[in-house]
Amino acid sequence: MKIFTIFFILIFLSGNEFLFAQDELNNQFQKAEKLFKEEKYFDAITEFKRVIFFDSENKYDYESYYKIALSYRAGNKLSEAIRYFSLAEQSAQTRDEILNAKFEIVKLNILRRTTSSALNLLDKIESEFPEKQNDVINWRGWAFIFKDDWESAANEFNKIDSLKWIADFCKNIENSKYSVRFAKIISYFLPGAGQFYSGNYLSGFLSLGWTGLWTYLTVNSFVEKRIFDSVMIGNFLWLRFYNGNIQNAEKFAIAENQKISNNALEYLQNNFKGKKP
Amino acid sequence: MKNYFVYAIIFSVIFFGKSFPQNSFHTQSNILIFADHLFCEKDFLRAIDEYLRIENKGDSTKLKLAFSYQKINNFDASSFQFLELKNTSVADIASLNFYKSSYLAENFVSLINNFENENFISEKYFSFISKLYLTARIKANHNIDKNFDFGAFEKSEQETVSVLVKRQLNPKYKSETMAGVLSTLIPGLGKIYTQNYGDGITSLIVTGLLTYLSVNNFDHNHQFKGWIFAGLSSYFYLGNIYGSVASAQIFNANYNRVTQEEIDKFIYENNYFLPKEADWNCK
Amino acid sequence: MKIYFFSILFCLIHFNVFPQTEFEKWEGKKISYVLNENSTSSELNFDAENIPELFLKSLTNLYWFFISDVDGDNCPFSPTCSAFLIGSIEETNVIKGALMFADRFTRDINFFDKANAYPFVTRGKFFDPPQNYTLNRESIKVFESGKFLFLE
Repeated sequence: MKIFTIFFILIFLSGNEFLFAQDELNNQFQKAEKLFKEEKYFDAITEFKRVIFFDSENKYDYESYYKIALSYRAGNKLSEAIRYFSLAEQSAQTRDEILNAKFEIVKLNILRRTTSSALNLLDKIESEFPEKQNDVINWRGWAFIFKDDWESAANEFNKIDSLKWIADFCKNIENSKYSVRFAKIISYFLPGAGQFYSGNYLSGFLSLGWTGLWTYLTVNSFVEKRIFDSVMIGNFLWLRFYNGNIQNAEKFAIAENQKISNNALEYLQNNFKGKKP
Repeated sequence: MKNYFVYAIIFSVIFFGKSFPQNSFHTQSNILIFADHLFCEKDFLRAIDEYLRIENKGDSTKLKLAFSYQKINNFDASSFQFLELKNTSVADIASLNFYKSSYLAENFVSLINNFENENFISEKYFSFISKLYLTARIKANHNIDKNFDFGAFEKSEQETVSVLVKRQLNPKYKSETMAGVLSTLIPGLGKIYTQNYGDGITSLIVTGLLTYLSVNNFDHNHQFKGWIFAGLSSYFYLGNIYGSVASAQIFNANYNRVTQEEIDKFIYENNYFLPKEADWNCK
Repeated sequence: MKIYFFSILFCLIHFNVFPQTEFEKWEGKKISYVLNENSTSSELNFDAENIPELFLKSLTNLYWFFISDVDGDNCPFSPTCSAFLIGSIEETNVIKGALMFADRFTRDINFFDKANAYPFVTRGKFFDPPQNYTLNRESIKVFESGKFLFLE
C-alpha cells in the first residue's frame, strides 16, 4: 500500500514536470516579448524561434510567428515579415487570428507598394469575411493612396461615414495636383508655359528665351534667303530647345506632384490617428 | 519503511532537479538541439550565436559552426574554425572546406602556400583539393608556364582547363603603345586596332573635318577662324591619341574580366570540386 | 484539399529555396511612407583646387544652368558628358581631364555601334565612368557590355 503511495507521489512529481514545461514555455515567451519590447528585434526573433521549436503542443505558434513577423517589419525587412505572417496565418486557431494575419499581409503589401497583390488579397477577404467590409474598404483606400491614386482612394473612403475626414483629405490632394497633360499641351503652344504652371519660373523664362531667340534667328535667316542657315538653326537649335521645353514641362509637373504626394504621405504618417499601415 | 522515504526523496530531487532550473531550454543539450534546428533551417547567423554558447563542442558541432560562418561569408572565421579541426574525426571534410573558404575569400596566395607546404591536406580528398589548388593558381595567374601540369583534372575537364590556362599564359592583349602610335599616324586607327570601329571612324572624320576647316579658312585669309579650327583640330587629335591608349587598356581589362568570369563559371559548375555535400542529419 | 496540398508543397519548396538573407545582425529601422524624389536639375558645385579647374567648373556650371537643364535629355551616357568632364578633372588634372573629355565627346558623336560597346544603367543610359580613362590600370572596372547593370 505504502509502495503504491510512493509511486503515486512519484507519478505526481513527474506530472509536475509537465506543468513546469508549460511554465517554462511561458517564461521563454515572456523573455522573447521583453526583448521585442526593448526593440532588440534580432535577438527577439531567436527567442521566439526557440519558443516555437520547444513548444510541442503548438500552443504559442501563432503568437510567436506573429511576433517574429512584427520584428522583421520593425527592421524594414518586409518580404520576410510577409513570410512569417503567412506562417502565423497557417497556425492560427481562431477566425480572428486568421483575419489579423491576413490584414497584416495586406498592410505590408501596401507599404511595399505591391498594390495589385494587396487588392487581390482584400477581394478574397471581402468574400470570405463579409462582416469585415469596413476594414477592407479602409485598407483598399490606403492601397490606392500608396499607388498615388488619390481619387480612387477618396471614392473608397467615401463609402463609410467614419472615414469622411480622410476621404476629403484625399480629394484635396487630388485637386491640388498639377495636370501633367495640361502642362505639356500649353508648353506646345507657348514654350515655358508648362513650367510657369507648375511654378518653375526660372526654367520657364529660360525655355521661352531660348526658343524665342532661335525662332527669331530661323525666321530671320529664312527672310534673308540664307536657307541653309535657317534649316540648320531650326533643326539643331530651335527643335532641341523646343523638345527640351516640353520634356521639362512634363518633368516639373511630375516632380511637383511627387512633392505634393510625399508631403501628404508624411502628414498622414505622423498625424493621422486612425488605422494606417 | 525508512528506505522508501529515502528513495522518495532521492527520486523527487531527481525529478525536481530536472525541471527546476529557471529555463531548461537554455541547458547545454537543449541549446545544441536548437542550434542544429536553426542550422537546418538555414538561419546560419542565429545558429552561430547558439553554437558559441556551447562550452564543450563536439567535432561535428565545431564543423557546423565553421560551415555556418562560411555560409554568411565570414571566411576569416570559417577558415580559422576549419583549421581548428585538424587531427579530428571530421578533418577530411574540414580540410576541403578550409581550402574552399580561402578560395571564396579570394586569398589565393595563402591557399597556394598552404597547399604547397602541405598544410592541412586531407589524404582522402587529395585529388579534390589539388584541383581547387590548380584552379586557384590559374585564377591568380600564379607561376603558370608551358609545363603547367593539369593531370589532376578529369579528362572531361581538361579541355576547359587548357583553354583557361592558354588565356592566362598567352593573353591576346592589345598593346597600349601600338594603339597610341597608330593613332598618332592616322587619327582613329588606334581605336580600330582595339576593335572600336565606330569610334575610330568618328575620330578620323572629326579631326579631318576640323583640319579641313582650318586649312580652308587660312586659304580664304580668315586668320582668326583658321587658328580656332587649328586649335580644335589639334585638341581632338591629342584627345584621340589619349583615347586610343585608354581604349587599349579597357580592351585588356575586358579580356581579363572574361577570363576571370570563365574560371568562376568553371569552378562554380564543378561545385568547387567538393564531393556531394554532407547530409547534416536535417529532416 | 487541393489547396492544402499545394500550400504545403509551396511551404516545403519555399523553405528549401529561401536563401540566407541575414548576413549580419540588424536593428530596428523606421519605415517611411515617402518615396524618393528625382532631382529635376543639375547640382551646381564650384569646389576647385586651382584657377583652371575653377574656370572649367564655372563654365560647366553655366552650361548646366543655361543650356543643359533647358534643352532636354540628349546625352546617351551616364554620367553625362559635362559631368564626365568634371569627374575627370577631379580624378586627374585639368590637362588630362580635357583630353579625356575630347575622347568622350568623339565617342558621343559616334553614331555607329554604341549599344554593344557599353553596359547600360537606368533609363537606358550607357555606363561610362571617368575612372576607366585615367590611364591607371588599377582603377579600371569593366562590365559586360550590352547588359543592364545594377549599381548600388
